[in-house]
Amino acid sequence: MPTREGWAVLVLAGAVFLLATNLMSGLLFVLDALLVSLFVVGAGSSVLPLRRLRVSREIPERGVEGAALPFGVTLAASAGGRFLVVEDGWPGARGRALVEHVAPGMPATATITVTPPQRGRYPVGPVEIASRGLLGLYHARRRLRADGHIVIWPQIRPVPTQVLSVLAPALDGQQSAGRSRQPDDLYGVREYQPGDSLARVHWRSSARRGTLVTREYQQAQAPDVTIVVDLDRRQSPARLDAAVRATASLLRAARERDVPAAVAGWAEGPVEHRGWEAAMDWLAAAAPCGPPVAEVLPHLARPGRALIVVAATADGVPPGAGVIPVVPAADAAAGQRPWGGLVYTDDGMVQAW
Amino acid sequence: MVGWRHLVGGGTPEPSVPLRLWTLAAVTIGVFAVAAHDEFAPYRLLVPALVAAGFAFSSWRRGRPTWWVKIVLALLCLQVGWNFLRDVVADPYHTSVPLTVLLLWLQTIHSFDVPARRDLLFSLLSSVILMAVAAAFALDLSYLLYLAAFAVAGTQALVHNAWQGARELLDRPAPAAAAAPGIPRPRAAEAVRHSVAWAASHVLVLVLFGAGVVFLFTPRLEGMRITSLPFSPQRMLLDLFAGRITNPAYPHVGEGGGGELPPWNARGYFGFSPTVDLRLRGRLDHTVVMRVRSTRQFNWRALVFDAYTGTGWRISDPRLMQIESSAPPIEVVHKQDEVLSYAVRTERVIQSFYIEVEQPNVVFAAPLAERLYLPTGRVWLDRYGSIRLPGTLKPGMVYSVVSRTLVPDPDRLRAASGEVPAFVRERYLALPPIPDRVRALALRLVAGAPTLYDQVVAVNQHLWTAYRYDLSIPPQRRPGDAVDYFLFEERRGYCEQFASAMVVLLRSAGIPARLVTGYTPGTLNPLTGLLEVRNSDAHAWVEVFFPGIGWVEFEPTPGFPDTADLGGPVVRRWVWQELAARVQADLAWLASRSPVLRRVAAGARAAAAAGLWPALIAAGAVAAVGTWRTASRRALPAPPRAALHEIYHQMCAVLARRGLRRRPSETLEEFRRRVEAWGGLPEVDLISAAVEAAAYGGVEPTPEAVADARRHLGALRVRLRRLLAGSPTRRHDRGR
Repeated sequence: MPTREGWAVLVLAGAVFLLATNLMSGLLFVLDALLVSLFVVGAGSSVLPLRRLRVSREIPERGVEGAALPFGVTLAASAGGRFLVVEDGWPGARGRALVEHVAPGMPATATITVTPPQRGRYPVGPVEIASRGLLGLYHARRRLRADGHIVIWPQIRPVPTQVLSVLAPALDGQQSAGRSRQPDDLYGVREYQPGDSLARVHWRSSARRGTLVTREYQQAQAPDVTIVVDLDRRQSPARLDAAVRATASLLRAARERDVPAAVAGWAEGPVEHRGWEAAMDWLAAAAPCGPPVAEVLPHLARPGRALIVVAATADGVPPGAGVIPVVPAADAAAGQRPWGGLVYTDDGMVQAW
Repeated sequence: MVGWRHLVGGGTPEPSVPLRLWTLAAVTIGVFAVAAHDEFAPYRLLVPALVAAGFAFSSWRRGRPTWWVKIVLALLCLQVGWNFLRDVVADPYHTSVPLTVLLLWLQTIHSFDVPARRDLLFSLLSSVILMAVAAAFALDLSYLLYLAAFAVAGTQALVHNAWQGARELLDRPAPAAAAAPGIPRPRAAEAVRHSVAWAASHVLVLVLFGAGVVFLFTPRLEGMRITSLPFSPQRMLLDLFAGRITNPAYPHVGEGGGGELPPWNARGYFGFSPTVDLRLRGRLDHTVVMRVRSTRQFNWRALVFDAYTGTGWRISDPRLMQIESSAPPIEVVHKQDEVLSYAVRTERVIQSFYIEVEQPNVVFAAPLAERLYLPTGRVWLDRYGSIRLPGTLKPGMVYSVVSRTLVPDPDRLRAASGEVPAFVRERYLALPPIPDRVRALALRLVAGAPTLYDQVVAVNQHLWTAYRYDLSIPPQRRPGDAVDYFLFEERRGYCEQFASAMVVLLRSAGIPARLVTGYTPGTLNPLTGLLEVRNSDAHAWVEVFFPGIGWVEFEPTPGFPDTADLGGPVVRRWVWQELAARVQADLAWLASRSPVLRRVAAGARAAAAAGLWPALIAAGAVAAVGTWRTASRRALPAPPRAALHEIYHQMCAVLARRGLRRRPSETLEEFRRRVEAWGGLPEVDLISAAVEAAAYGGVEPTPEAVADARRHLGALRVRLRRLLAGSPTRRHDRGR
């Protein structure tokens, strides 16, 4: 499709042709030929590089909503190409990059930055390559299949100290059952994973390997703190998103205190995920598909287990021993003061009430 | 409110300095191309200087409120618009000049308000209009210099515009995307500038080549449908001669003729004088005297001579009819001797004449001129249909003529019948006493010809075949009748002698005829589309009277195109046809000098007959593109890493020729070890190590490393050559 400039050149070429014919002026025909040639070369330089284009890309497996993600897209064009605009991502989160030059037979790499707006599991692609050619007179676009999937974790908010002090009885009560902080109990080191506490980074090994390495301690006793997210199907998606973010933030806070908490909820039955990545992956795709959390809690309650319940409503959590409710701040503001005094805001920030 | 802000804000300021400079260059070149013509000489320096100042001002003020600038510019626009209307009202027949001046001023005013990219683009497009205006005014190839410079500047500006456009695309959010902070910006400006300049220079080559191909294959349709024909303002032609013929090359030749022979003047034709003296000898130079734009090509007739004197020709009837017109055009109604012609002259041909060298005060045009657009409101018409002007045609003068032409159709001419009017017989059969052998020859030639046309053709054929065209003939060695001397003594001569001989022979056979002087159509310049008429194109030919039809032109001189072949389009439908015709003509000329070239010419003719010229030109174009691409790839300076890989591939190819082919599954190290086992080739180790370090070691190779690797490759070649030159197998191969 000709661009605005391309249409202008075409219209001028037509007008000059008519004038040249009318005046029988050979020099006007030369000018007309120049204009036509400009358009043809411009269109050719736009279309041809896209015809023999191969694309490959590297995308991260996971991302966090709101945090920029780099997509590495590599273009190889047998005919070469210039000024190529590469677009990649998924509906709702696409990014662009400009490739100045792809020499024939020499791949060029572009980094597209995509900022995921929403947690979830997404199929990524296709990659779209657009070119206006060397002269900006013709706009050509090509979609190239490059399948892939990405998991976007919910946004993690910092948990204030007041919240941690409210949670302390539950978390500290489990402290002795968790992994020891004592150097004597060092189990080994492993590669750093998102969410690991910086306090556990083994700097000496990191320096030696050139990548972050985290300490792991001897497991003394299985943890028993579970953060339950309310997947009540009656709640709004926005509230669920806030609850999921709050859950992820609490999970992260527990992890930073070396308390390997589990996340639980409902998916055609009560489900429970232990382990950071598994829990976050599950939260990424959590949907409002279950009964009220009051009906789920009996399935999850165990003797000695602390349940931190991120509820959809303030009155949805039945009172009970070992249950710490975290309710929407909006409900709390409406006068329903929750037990334990923890609330979460609409953007998923957990606060003490 | 937003619209008002947009208006006074001037759009998003364009930061690209190269785009701004190249656009300025394109506009300036456009202005220079227009101002190259004398009509716009006062603007030659003023407008480019103001445009440059305007661009500088725009660049300085971009991003700041410019509402007061817009108000000032609007007032200036009103002023130049008013000036344009005033000039058009003053001279409604020459609107092109004030219109162009208006365009120049608008371009100048616009230059003061080009803060954004779209404004620069608008300037670029308006510079194309300037170039089109310049092309419309241009008469010679000097315009191509401006066009070439414009192509450079325009292409550079477009490439920079494309680059800026791509950057702008980045700044826009992707469809349905949320705000995406941290979009990676393109690399450093300096590197980009080089990259864009490189692209622009290469694309320019393609554009110019493509323009050549497009030009060859652009159809030339019948044109000149315009109603406003070009002609110089009336003040240019002064009333000096009151209808008397004045030839600047022979200013002293009077209407009486005879007398002393004037000295030969190579810069002007003596046939544009009141008399034609056949004793004059010499060659005319090849100066272009006028350029003609016409739909069809004819001989451009100037004067008609009716009275043969035995040594030359004169115009016997001095009476003139004055025609005046207060406004163009001057309508000419031919009477007397031309009155019978209208019935068969149905086609109208438009011609515009651009005078380069001073010419006599006669109108050159295809007969019969009917409507005149002249730099005068008064002309004189003689009884022969020739038109005389008040003054000589000066260089730079332009006039246009609409003629009713006649393309002779042999069938129609054969069918011509009826009585020749008495006033025609009386004037155009008259001859002075001529030798009997001339009359006898005439009667012998026409004997047996069934029709008037056949009789004329018989005489014409005789002159074509029995006599030789020669511009180097000596002066007439004995006194007497010039035609008799030419026909029976010299038997060679130039066009005046051929034409005189034909007229005398026809009159001797009782056929009314007369001698005509003028210019042949000239040579087409395929680039300008103009016929270039030179001094040496001055010519004399014959008009024969056919009852019921009128005066019909015949070409008596061998080597000149038959008048029956005239009347065709000036420009062929396709320029490649013109090119092919020229190549064929050149080949024919070459073929006459070498048997090998004769065969080549025959092949070219066969190709032309088979319609293969377009295919040959297209094949040539494809080959040229392929060559250019290959050359440009070679010329592309490869980055060190790629260069290193290329050297490695060359090394593999060298080794493969010696039987050491790298297997697809083999790593660099495995292949190196195998080569090592085959025989010590330290160069392979060095090149492999360099490539391995670049590929897997995260080490960016330096140009020095590439140079080393290239040197090692050369050393490897030498080593292998020496090794294998000493091997019995290789010697055995050589022996075979």
